[in-house]
Amino acid sequence: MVFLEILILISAISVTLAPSLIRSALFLMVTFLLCGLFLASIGAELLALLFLLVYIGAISVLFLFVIMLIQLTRNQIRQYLITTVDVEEQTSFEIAVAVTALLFITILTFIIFFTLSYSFPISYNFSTILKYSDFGAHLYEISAVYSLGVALFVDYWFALLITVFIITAASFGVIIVLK
Amino acid sequence: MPNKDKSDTFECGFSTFSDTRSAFNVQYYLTAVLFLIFDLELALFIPWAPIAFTIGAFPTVIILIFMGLLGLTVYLERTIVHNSFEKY
Repeated sequence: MVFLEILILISAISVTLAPSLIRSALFLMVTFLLCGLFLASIGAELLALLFLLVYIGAISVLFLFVIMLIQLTRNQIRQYLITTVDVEEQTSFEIAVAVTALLFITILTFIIFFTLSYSFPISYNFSTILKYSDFGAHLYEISAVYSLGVALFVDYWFALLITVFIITAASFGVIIVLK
Repeated sequence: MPNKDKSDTFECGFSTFSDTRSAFNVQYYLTAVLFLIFDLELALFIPWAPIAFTIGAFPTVIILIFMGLLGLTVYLERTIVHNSFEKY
């Protein structure tokens, strides 16, 4: 499991360090794939499949499409950052690495904590995590899709409704731009 | 013996009509974005299936609101966007 997380971090940092934008997008696909594998390893099969279908199948392909459409090189973007945001070249590189690492560590922590809180509805602190470090095994007792459904449609139904309204607003925006 | 015709790429059995890296309307890209949004919305339908008739009608009510908004979006897409595509 830790091996997978280290691989996710390496590929996420490679996204920022890759020499060309196409390679960045490919490394992003690798990151999504590894995140899907990570989710599968902690027992969230549906989310793992959604990572494969939605993130790699649709969003990454869309990113590749955008890169093809606007033929920018990484140097042009870097130049843009240096001239308009007024950062030095070395600093921009360091900021990129730090931001990516922080983002992915935060996301992974959230995933782990949410999984723990669903499988063990007791107060979770660090000693609890250490005690139930085999939480993946307990998740198989109930279907992951079922528990996700209960979480989405019963526990967090209001958040789901807000999400649906936001998604609808986004699609209205696309429709208005398309018009 | 390799010659120009032999090493050519073909387009449905014909010689290629033009360069494949041609410019096309940005509306196609935006339609792809619309597809992404629908993709995300439909992915949220999946967790509803196992709990649909097990823990009361509440999840079904939420999914009906969901479907209503999705239907409204599809209706707007068909009326506004589809008509604007007729020009091309």
